[in-house]
Amino acid sequence: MIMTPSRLTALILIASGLAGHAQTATWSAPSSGFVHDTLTGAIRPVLGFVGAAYLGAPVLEQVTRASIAPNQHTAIIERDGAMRWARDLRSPDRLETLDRLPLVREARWAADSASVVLMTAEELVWLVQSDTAPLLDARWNLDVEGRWMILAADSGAQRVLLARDEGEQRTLWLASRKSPPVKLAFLGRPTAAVFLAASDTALVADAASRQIFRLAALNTTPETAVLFGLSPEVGDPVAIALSPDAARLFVADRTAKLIRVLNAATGEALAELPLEFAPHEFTPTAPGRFLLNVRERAAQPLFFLHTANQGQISFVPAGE
Amino acid sequence: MPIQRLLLLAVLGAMVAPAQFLVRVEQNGQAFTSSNGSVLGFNSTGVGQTSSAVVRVTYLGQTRATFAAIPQLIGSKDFSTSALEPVALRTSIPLQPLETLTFTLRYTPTITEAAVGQFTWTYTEEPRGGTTGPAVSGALAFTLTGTAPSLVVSSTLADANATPLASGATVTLPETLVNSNTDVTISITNRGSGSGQVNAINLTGTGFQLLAVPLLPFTLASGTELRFGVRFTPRIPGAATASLKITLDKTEHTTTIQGSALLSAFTYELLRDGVAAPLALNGLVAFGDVRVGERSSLVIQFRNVATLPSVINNILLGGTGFSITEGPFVPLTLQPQEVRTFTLNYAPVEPVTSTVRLLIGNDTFMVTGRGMGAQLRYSYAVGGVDVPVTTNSVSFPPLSTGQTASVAFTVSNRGTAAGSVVSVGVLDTRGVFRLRSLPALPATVDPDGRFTFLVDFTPLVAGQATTTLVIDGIGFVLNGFSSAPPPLPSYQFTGASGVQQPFQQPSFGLSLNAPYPQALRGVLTLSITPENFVTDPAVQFSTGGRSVAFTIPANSREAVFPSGATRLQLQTGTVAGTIVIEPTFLTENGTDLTPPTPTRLSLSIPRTAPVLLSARVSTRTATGLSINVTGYATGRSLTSLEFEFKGDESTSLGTARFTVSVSAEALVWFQSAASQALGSQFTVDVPFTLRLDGGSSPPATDITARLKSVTVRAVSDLGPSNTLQVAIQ
Repeated sequence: MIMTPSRLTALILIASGLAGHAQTATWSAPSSGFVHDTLTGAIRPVLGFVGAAYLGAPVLEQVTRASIAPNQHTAIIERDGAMRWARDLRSPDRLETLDRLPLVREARWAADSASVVLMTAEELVWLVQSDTAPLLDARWNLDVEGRWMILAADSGAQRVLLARDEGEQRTLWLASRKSPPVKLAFLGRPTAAVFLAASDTALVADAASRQIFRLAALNTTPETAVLFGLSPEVGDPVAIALSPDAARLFVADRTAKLIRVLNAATGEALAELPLEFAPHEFTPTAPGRFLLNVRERAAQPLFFLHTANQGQISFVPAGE
Repeated sequence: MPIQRLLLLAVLGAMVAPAQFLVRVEQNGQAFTSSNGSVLGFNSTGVGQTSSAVVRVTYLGQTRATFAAIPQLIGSKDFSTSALEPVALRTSIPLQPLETLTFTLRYTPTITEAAVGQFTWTYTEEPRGGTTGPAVSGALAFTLTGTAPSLVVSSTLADANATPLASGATVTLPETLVNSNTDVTISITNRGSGSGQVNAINLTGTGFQLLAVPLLPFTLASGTELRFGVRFTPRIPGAATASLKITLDKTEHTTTIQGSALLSAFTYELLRDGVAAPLALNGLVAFGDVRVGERSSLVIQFRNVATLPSVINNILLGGTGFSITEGPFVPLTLQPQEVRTFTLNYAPVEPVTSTVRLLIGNDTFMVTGRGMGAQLRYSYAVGGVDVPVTTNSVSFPPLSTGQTASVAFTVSNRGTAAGSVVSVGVLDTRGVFRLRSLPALPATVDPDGRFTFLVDFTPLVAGQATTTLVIDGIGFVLNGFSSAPPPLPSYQFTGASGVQQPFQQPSFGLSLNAPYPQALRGVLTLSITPENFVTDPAVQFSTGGRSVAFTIPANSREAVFPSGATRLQLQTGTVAGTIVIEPTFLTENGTDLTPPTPTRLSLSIPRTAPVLLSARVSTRTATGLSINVTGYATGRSLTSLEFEFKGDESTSLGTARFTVSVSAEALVWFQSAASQALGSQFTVDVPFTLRLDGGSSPPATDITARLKSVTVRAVSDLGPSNTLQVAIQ
């Protein structure tokens, strides 16, 4: 951050009753937050804007697992066999150990980074930020039979859609801070989901019937209906995301190694974004930006999906 | 009667027998004319065997001849005549003209010496008619001679005297070795006065045969001898009997011949560690396993078990590694039951199984032994063809530098014991010749076992390359020839080129204009020439950094990057300048094929007006707010930021523009170390304090609540940027 002397600005009034002046401007280095580089086990800064950015030197090392908040500097990490809270990765030495929290497998943050929902081996846990340590806000036990996963969380991380594998069958569940997981009536194999902003509606991708379902009235009595079918070319929908204006649906096709851009209302194919690897999830890193992969080799960059406009994939090199 | 007197009487008789007679004699089946006073010979077949002759005398006169009643027979008593039988009733015998007087003369010898007799028969002949006178007297006279043979059979063995053989006798032959001969000579001697006849000679019996038998029947004159042989050639050991039958005139003479056969005149024993064991003929003398370079010995003992002295003419032994010591001189004669020995040795010189023949006289034995030891053999295979290493030289197929040829070198053990290989290495230290896939050393190679390792030849320069492969001190010359690799074909960059926009991630490729026969590798190196002395660190390949390796498979054209793709992305960054990408090309072994002035990819990032990426209200109060603006300016300079606030339609604020001069601030920022790590990217947060027109606003007035949006634009010496509108409410 660069502090410069204040300069008074010229005030131009155009038939306005508004006047004022600019004060000291603050110049700072652009940053695109932090990422967990699983190849090196380190949390590294993304220096610059994605599109002309690169990974900087690690700020934290020996990190087994990490989930970074949309504010791009708060994170919950697993390190040395324990869960820890990093309030601000820009001050990485200030970590708080979450003694009573089992190891976390998945996390979904609220858009304002004020809270996060976590899935451990046996529980669904909500944490909220405070001035000191994060506070436990809610927790629900998960049946140990089967394998649980979080498909999506709403923008406030209030509600989550869960999937549970029991043998060959997969079921769809809804949980929130105030209610334990409830199984939804859903036939098929739900593989991805996304909540519509500011609504009680979610979209769910069914790999069995190759359809996108609309789940409405999630706050009361959830209703399921087919929104549209996916074309036969769609091999394996493993993740979905909406553009900021909810006009486009991005579908990660693992089999075809690409991201399909569809009309969110009709399912019409708008574009295809090819990948060099098979995607398996969209990890939100900033509004409208998702991390697509983890690095598997030194020469591999990180790829990000930008959902604004028609969608774009950018890479961030790992640097020398 | 003395023979002389008999002859005189014969002459006188011839002188006084004027009558004419025709005398015909029938003897031995033949008839012939004789004359008065002739000699009649009688040859008997043997003592007691009668020989006779019928005489017919026909009177050829014209009157009458009257023979006396009986003739006279004088001389040997072995002669007789029918004319004297019966004597008492005989009267004179007149013969009218052409009448015949018939009588028989007989000779039955009682001895085998010659006999003589005289037969006289007187007669009177009346004078011819018409004449008077006395009767004429005369005599019919024959001189008789008689002979008889005496055939004696005898046998003679080698170095032995003749032994007479009576019929029915047995001749015993000495012991004969199987497949060898024992001969006995049979003689038939005529000791009589007359010839004898050998009519037949027959021999029956397995293993026996007649030798030198003349054509039969054979007349054996008095005092002569007929000889023939009988040979005994046994094929199997044991006793054998033959029967020899000789027909002499009408007498059959039988002799039994007995023989006995031996396989050998010797018996053998094998002495091993002082213990004797019988050794059969054609048997096996086994030395067993003997280590190469060592010697094992056995003693052969042999004894003459024949009843006669036996001779060993030779003791022979063939084959490498075998020898005889402490043996007798040959030819060697052993007396019956005599024992001699010799030592048989086996000292193998190579690890093979050997079988040789030992000959002691006519007796054969097989001798075997197995040399124990390893015998390592070397070969190599190239192109699927196995080549034995005979001159300690291994040749590689010719190739060009950059290529690698491999041969599979095999060490095999053709011996009879395990061998070991302790060390394998090459003298080359430059890596032109390298070994691969060596087994763990030391390595044990079992009989019929092998191990194989690879020898790679990767020439660095054209020409001949040699080194030595050493296996336990044994050197093998490795020899290879190489030619310079073919020149690199021209190439081109595909995809992005020329002027590129900043803040982009274009892709490009590298392609040969023709396939290259060898696999290539190379490096793309990115360099930057900024227009304003600041190099943007974000200008990198997607693989990270400013160099990236690539490969071009043999016989292909497209460069392949680490991701496996034939396209590579890079970031153009946010600083004006020129990005140059230059390749190098190498063969797999490092031969540099890069042209002296390689074709490069040049991307130019122009100096452009600023670009705003985002704008947002970062903080807001009732009377103020901060606008956070991000963007970049490839010229690394900004002159001003322009903000146009628009009031809500429900208010009367209208639009207010603020132009914030930032030249100096931007200069400080772009000169800072923090900025140089980010190209020309910037984030600037501009706080505003607002008031309503006319002076200070009442404290309770929420001015910013009356604002709808703000539009932001940045300006540099290259012009204005795009505008961004930010909603305030």
